Amino acid sequence: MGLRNVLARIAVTRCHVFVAEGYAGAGSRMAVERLLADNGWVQALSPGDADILCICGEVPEDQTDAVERLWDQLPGPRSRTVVTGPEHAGRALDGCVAELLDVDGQMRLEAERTATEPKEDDKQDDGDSRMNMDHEGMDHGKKDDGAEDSHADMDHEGMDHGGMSHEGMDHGGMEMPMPGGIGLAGEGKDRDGLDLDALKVPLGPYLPFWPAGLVLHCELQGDIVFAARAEYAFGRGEELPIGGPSGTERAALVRQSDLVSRLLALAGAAREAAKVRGVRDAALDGAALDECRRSLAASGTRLRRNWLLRRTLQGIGRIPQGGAAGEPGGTDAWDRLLALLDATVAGTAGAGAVPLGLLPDLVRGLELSVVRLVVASLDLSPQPAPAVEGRAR
Amino acid sequence: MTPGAVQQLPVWGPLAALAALAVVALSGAMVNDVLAARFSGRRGGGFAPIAEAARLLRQRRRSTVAADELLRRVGVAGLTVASALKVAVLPVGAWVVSDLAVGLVWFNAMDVLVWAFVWLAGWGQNSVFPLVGGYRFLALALAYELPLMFALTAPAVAAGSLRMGDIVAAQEGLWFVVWMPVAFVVFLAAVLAFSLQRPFTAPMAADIAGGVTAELSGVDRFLVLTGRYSLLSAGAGFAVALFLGGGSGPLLPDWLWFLGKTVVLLWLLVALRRRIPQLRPEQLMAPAWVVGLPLVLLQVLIVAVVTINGRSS
Repeated sequence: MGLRNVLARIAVTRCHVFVAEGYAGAGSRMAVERLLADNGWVQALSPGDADILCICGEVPEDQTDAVERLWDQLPGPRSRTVVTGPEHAGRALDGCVAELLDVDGQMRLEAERTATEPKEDDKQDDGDSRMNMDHEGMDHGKKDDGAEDSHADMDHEGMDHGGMSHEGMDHGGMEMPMPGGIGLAGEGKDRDGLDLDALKVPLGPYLPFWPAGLVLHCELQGDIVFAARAEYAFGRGEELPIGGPSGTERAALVRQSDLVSRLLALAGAAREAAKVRGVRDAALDGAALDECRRSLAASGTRLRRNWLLRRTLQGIGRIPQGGAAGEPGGTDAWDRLLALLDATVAGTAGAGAVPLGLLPDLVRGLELSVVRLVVASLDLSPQPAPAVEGRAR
Repeated sequence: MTPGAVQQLPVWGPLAALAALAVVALSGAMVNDVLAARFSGRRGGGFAPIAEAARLLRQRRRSTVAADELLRRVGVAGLTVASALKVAVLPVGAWVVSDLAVGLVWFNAMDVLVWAFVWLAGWGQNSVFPLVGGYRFLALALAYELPLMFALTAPAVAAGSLRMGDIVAAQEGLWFVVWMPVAFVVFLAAVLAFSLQRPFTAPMAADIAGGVTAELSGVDRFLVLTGRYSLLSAGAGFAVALFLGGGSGPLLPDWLWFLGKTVVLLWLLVALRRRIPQLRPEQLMAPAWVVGLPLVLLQVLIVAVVTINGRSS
């Protein structure tokens, strides 16, 4: 037992897992999240913080490249797995732990990874031209910064947690200087008519606390989204298959409490988020629905008294009145959170899905944190919808 | 005011201070993880910071393309350095590493350095989310810094000195917290803010994939996380020295009293901040300047009037 083995043994008691939810992966994701909480592990906020890349559900063909990019961002020692059903989560993560404990194997993989990276660049020469551009830039970076940066290509666009980044930075054009192969940000008029850098940053489709498959192509000025376009990279899949006589009712409760806990987690109310998530897990385990509803009602009472949280959520993402039928017009994120919680407690359906087309108008001119809260406060339509353009005047 | 209220430690002083800071900070991290484990129905949890450290020490460092390596490293290492420099003027009982005549100003200067370090760590990575995180911290810092400065003024005015030893000595009869409660509360809030704890976690929040820490791994992330707890510990230590009578207490030696008070206050802060939801970055400015600043100015006025009356009579 060398020091490395000891470190590895200690380290795997607290693995950080980046959970990427693919098509029809909600059930698996919940099972994985559950395991993480039970083991005292951590759900990584970015791939750069993760030891394990855990893909829940299926990854469509056209998404394999994006997943590879996520994988490249894991610093290592690293391990990846695909969980195709809630019942496989435990075994999949155990397999990852075994891989992480294999110190010699990890060393070998890391050495290979460092050695083969230039070749990977060559291999991708037949990819689209933008990608080649990026990769050339990367080689350049390597010469400058020495061996330590030889793995830098995995990060070459910084903000590509969504895995879609190769589309994100291409607006610089060929004629602009490109430090490290990254095109400089373009310019645009900001709210006060000043020229500011405009940066294209896609949010999603693999982002923690984010609707699976949704991609919001944002144009950022500073941290303000001044234009956005929303689309689904892939659909969400069927509803959770939960058996038993009250199957659909239970599935609705699970889904709605999942949405509530996601919004709470993003709003920074970690305690309440964990409580609601606990109710969700209990419902998945087959706890009595009445029991679950009572806990959610108690959470609702506590939330209504939480003025800091209300201050965070009130007045943001207000949907204009008189929209299409079924749209929760006139509500803001705080209203929607409470309404969703009340509907779950009462056992009725939530306010209903919101069409994706609403999103670009809703998020325009908002700060990134607010955008995330607005998206999390909406039950976005699960059907893949055509991309919608939204642009500031 | 006697300049010799505290005694400077010999050469090994800095090492002892660093070791004490590390132990106190580790205790804070352990308490945090024990509370987290208890909350989610697990046992133990105290080992988690050690496991996290082991994990990060064996992790490979990664860096982003076209990152400004120098600035990034300065920012990443800076948080820990700033907390160590703060502790240098902190009297632990009757001992201090450096008995600066302007110790309080030194503390404040180190605190402003944190602005630069967090921003540099965000900027240097050449990536959107860390950059947004860095600017978020500046927005928060702009809001909390002025109330913090005035909160620091109150004990200095009452003691008539900027030397930390004199401020502690001036509390012999009555701890400052008793007649400066507003300054104390504002100071504690600022401690949470400059150590990037909730509710001031927006610079490294989930909505920007970890913000300043999004692209950090290995020893870089270790330094940032250590820096946060060190800053919180140093802040708790200064709260004890400025408001809670420093090392004064019956029976036990004064250094033990000081460390005991610091650790208890640190644990309280750790437990308290777990219950507070996070603030959106643009939401701090108005309450900090419209409510906090006038209140703390009023506090300073009261302290000044009381002090002048006390001297003339």
